Amino acid sequence: MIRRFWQRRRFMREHDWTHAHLSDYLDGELHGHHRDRVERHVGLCPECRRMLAGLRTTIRALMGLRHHADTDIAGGVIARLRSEP
Amino acid sequence: VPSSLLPGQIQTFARLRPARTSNRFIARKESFPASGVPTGVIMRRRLSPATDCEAVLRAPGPEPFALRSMSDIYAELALRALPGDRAERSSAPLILPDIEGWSTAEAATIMNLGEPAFKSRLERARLAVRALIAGYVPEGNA
Repeated sequence: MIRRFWQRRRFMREHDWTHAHLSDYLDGELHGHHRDRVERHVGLCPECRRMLAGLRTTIRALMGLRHHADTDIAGGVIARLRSEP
Repeated sequence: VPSSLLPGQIQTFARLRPARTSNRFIARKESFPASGVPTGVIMRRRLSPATDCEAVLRAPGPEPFALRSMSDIYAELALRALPGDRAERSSAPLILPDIEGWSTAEAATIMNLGEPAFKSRLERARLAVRALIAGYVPEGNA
């Protein structure tokens, strides 16, 4: 029972860490040990697998907007950010 | 909902008067309108994401919607419907790196944020978009 408790606790710690780093993982900003850590947990956790698939779909859809978006969308955003105090 | 309305566009109903009101302020304002200011009550409402979807699908565009993938349409809708009082501000972390292809460091600099703070906002924005398009876009395997 104690062993199960520690296993569960370790799993949840990995779960929280992976959850917080999925976005970085998809951006290719995790390397070496950190990347392996995410992949290992995603292999075990169905929730994180779903989340990763969802984020990947979202990012792909957002990248698809590059061809449809107005050409000066970034310019508008930057102008707005600069005009704010 | 009129089909000509685009997502995020504010529909304005001008010169609609309530039949009866007990609000003395409105009654006084209508009695003594300032010159040049249209009288009556101006009601504004912003379309919900679900209504937006219908309006966009029905609205005539520069190209037929069949040519655009559904995921594109819903991602576009989701971008406009991100929570926050300043839509451009809340979607800025998404627009710069994910749509415009900027690096996170460049986008963080332009937004006057540190990289960790920017990444945190980016992740929140992505999760918000994911939640909004979850029902419409099929999610593949990781």
